[in-house]
Amino acid sequence: VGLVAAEIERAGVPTVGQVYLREAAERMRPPRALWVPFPHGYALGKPNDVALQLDVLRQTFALLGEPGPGPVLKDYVPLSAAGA
Amino acid sequence: MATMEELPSDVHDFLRTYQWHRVDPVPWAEVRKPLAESRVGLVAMACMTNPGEPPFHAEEPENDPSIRILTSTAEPQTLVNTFPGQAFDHAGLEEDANLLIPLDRLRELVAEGEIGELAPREVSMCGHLPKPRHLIDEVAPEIARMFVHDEVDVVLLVPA
Repeated sequence: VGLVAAEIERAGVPTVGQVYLREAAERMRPPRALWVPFPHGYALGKPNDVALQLDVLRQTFALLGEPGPGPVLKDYVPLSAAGA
Repeated sequence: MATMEELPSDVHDFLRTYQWHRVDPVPWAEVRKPLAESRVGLVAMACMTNPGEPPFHAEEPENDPSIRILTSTAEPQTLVNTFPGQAFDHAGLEEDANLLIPLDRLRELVAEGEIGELAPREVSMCGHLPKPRHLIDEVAPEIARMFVHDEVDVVLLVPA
């Protein structure tokens, strides 16, 4: 994710994405990343859980509101913890 | 899953010794417009292809840095999973490809007015590339040029 995201950002287009491993994200430093507490293969959470998947996407896109410079690395806040 | 220690042992061993490419300096493109007015592109890294396309050859030592172009109207469940091996559990992907290629969810956000529109061309590739030189030199710039050409405002990257 980090290398491709970086190249797209260098071309002038903001990027956002999820990461599974904080350690890896801290080493690679993608510009804007949301750490998700899900296993590999489950970036948006659970199969057919539309509400959860939309929430992950909304929190991912919310990274666009974070001030620079990057890297920005935020933790996903579960729906229940957010009071939804 | 929060740490490498919780991964399957072979995956953990690979990641422990993997030479992570540090992005330095970290580039930062300014957000130009609200998401509700933005054209959003997708880069999905689960080695999925359109039906009938050649599969990715991600089992090769240097892996496969090629890309496939998806349209914004592609149906995730019709795409073909060509990710080899069990680096991750494929059960979720087989049940609901939106986990890794969330085109249905993105279209719903467009319908809700939260996203302006989807880019006409999305990218599918394999995210596991131990030897990323070709990716860095050629493929990533090609992807960036495509999104710039298509006047994309934001790109979402979804790892496998």
